[in-house]
Amino acid sequence: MSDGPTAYLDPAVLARISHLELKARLVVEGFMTGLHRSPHRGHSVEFAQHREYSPGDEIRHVDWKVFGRTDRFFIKQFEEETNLKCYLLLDASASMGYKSGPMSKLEYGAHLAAAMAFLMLRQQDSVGLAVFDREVRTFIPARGTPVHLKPLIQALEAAQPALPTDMGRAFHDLAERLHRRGLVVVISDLLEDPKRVLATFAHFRHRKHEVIVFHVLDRHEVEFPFQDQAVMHGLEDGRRILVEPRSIRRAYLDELARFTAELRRGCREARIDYVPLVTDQPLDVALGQYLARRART
Amino acid sequence: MLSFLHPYMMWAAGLASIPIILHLYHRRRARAIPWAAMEFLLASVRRSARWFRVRQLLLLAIRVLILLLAAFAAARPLLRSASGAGFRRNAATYAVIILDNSYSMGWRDAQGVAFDRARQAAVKCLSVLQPGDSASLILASDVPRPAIREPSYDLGAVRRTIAAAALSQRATDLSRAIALAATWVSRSSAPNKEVYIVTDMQASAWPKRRAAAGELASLSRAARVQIVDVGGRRPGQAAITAVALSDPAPVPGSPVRITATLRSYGNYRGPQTARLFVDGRPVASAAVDLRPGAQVLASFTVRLDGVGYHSGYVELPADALAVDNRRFFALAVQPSRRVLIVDGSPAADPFASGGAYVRVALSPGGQASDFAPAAVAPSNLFANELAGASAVVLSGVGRLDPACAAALAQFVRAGGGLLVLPGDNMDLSYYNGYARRMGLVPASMTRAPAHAGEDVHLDPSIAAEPAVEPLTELKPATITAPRVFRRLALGGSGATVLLRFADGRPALVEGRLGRGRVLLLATSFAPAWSDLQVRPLFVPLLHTLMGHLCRGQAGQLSREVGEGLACRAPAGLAGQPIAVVAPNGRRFPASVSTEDGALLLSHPNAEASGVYRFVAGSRTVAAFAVNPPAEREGDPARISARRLRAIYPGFQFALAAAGDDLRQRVMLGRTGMELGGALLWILLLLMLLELVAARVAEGE
Repeated sequence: MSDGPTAYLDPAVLARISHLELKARLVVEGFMTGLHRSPHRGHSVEFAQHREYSPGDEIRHVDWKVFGRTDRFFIKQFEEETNLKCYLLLDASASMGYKSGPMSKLEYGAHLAAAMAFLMLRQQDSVGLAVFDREVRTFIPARGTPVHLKPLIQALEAAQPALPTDMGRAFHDLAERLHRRGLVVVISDLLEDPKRVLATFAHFRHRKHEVIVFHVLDRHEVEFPFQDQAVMHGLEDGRRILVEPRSIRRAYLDELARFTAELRRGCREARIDYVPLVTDQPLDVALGQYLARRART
Repeated sequence: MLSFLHPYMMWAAGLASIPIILHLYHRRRARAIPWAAMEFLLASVRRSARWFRVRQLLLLAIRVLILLLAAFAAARPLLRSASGAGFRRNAATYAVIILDNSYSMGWRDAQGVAFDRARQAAVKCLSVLQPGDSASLILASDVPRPAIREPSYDLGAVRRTIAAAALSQRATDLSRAIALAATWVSRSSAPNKEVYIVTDMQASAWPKRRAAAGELASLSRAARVQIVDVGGRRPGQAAITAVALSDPAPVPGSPVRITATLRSYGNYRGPQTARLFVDGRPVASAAVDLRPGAQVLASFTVRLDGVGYHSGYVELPADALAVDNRRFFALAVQPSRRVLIVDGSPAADPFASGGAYVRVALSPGGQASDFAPAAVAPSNLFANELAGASAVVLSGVGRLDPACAAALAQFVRAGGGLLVLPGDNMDLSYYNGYARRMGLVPASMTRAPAHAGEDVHLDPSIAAEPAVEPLTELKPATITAPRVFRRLALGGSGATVLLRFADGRPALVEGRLGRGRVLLLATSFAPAWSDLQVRPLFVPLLHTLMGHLCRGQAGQLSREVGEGLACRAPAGLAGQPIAVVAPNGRRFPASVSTEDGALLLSHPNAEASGVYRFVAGSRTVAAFAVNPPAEREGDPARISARRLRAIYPGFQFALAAAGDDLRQRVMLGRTGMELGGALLWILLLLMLLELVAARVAEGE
């Protein structure tokens, strides 16, 4: 089995566990263990201000001392109410179904999303989820209650790669739904025209959202290690092409480097965090990146 | 003009399809991989796949070319020019040298011995070969002897073998050596094939045979044939072609007539003296006058007293060809001639059967005579009984065991004599069937009808046959006097009738079996068959017939050079070392085997003329006179190129004299440039190129 909680950061280990919620918890606890911090730190319980009670507010937050003095109901507001709203946008297009190892890009993304959701809810942040391909397939509004994790996990488990991507269309729809400013976490292989991708990100930025892009690729997509002649057929468009891998490897890697460089540059210019990930990489890279961004938000 | 030495190797060009097949196979078995980043892939393929494909095709082309060139090189292409010019003549040559070493090559003239010139000419033939060429050597007489069978690239060794080649005392049949050379040439893959025949152009060396003509024609299609004539002018010579003994197995003191046949070949003429030597001592001489092309006989009569083997020779003064001026003979003086009498119907009265009269006639009153008769039962007629016998008389034997019949046939084939007399118990179906097939009777026999009160007599006119020649000295009345009461009718072909009855029917017939003779009498010496046994004709008739049958062994002691020697020896010599002493005194262990209880001595071949002896200790067991085939080889008549072409149509050859510039003649005839060397270099370069191209492809 594993050497400790940090072992659960390894996708190969996670792939052997079927329960996504459990995996998310193991990942976060492993990640926190790695940081030598309590997973419960960061909770803000500082009093902020009073506001008048309105129907729907929880009774336990009524400040009874003020009621005694003023005979009016006031609600105590704490720091946690100023916590972040975070939206996890998971790409479930057909191309995310590719895998050369134990985990596909979609599975990796789902694990990452689950772990982040778990971590966020632990930090009292609100978490929402959108699963999209050429349009938004699942949308769960952001909430900060612990029980909110369950629908998130169910949605992530239900995500299946099937249809082609149309990030522009899906994100345009999402941008209209995400009214409140928050953190938008995009988990995708971004296999589209980079200009179009960056334009959709700009749309979020325009609405004052902070954006982190986790660019998830498979190891084989990054290195193109094939030797023998092969027929490659596209997961999204079904095209077939006979290739001599040795002959095109250099060109392919150049194309990929050009693509990622353009994305990186575009993100930097739009002040978007761009985090390249490979599906065999431990998840703490992504979680660490998130926490760094969270600290800045 | 391009031709191939191994055209069948072009089939290997099919191997060139292997890289193509592998290429296509790898294309077909390309793994299907689902892929997400198709846009990058398409862009990459657009950028670099074309150049890669070109390089892959280039690599494929190189590999195909390598295999094609390898097949091409293996087929050994040869570039020939119709004019013979324009190409460097580097093509390899395989030469077969046929060196005639028959005894006619020993001819000595003012320029020396022909065989010496032949060896020099053969060495000259080698000088036209170049490094990388190969040669074989055949010493040709009546049998071709492969001196160097496999093509030798060590021309120095071939030269040394030629220098060590010896003259034989055999006749010549060049067609057999040429047939062997044709076989070797056909196995060679050299572009240039040459056959050199170094000979004296003796006419007798070129037998007129249809098969030989075909072989020579096929040889000249496969190779260029160069005949080198070393014969020179040959006016003529004298030779002793035969020596005949009237009785090669005489008894002591009996006269033996030795007749030598002297022959003049070519235009040889002049008086000559033939001298007879017996046991190394000159005994007699005879003056003869030889005329061109004529043959004369020189006769000598000798009497030898010592029992055992004697030998000698008749000699003429040496001439240009000395080997046939001396001819050897051997004879065995026997204490008496042992005659085995096998009586098939021994009666209570021994004189009721014919065998008893034979025994009495050969040894009258039991006194010593030239013959030593001995009675043997039919069932005891085995090889050990036959070993010391000169002749066998079968008198009224019903039938013989197969083993006895086989031993008797072997005895006759080896030179023994057999007289068959009929009898009452004779199984005619056996004699007409099995015995006839074995050669033990020369004619078929049927019982003639009885003559009612009328006797049959012999015809007084005696056939002019050596077997019965002494009877011609008798009075006709002596011959016609005996009365024959019963007789058999002899029929069939292949037998010689020596005596006839008065009615013309055969009375005595003779047949040959191997070296021996078989006589068959139509009647018996038994009183019931005839009264021959009491007539004056009886003893002379029987001695004449027995003498003739015993003389049948004459040829047994004479052999031609090259023949094997074999004889029977008494079983008492078993276990003793027996050697063969050659004429030059060298001793060889004799090959000894046992056959039907008797020792069989043999020596594979006798290669020199003279007397060969089988000796056990100091005792001579047998002696053989070995002589060269003078009749065939002594004639120095030569054959011209024109005549040769007439005898062998289709035989293409060039004729050169020993002194001609052979090198210029031969080199002009050679053409062709073998491309194998150049192809190998190209192949090597292509393989290096392939290595580099493959590494580049791998590197990608």
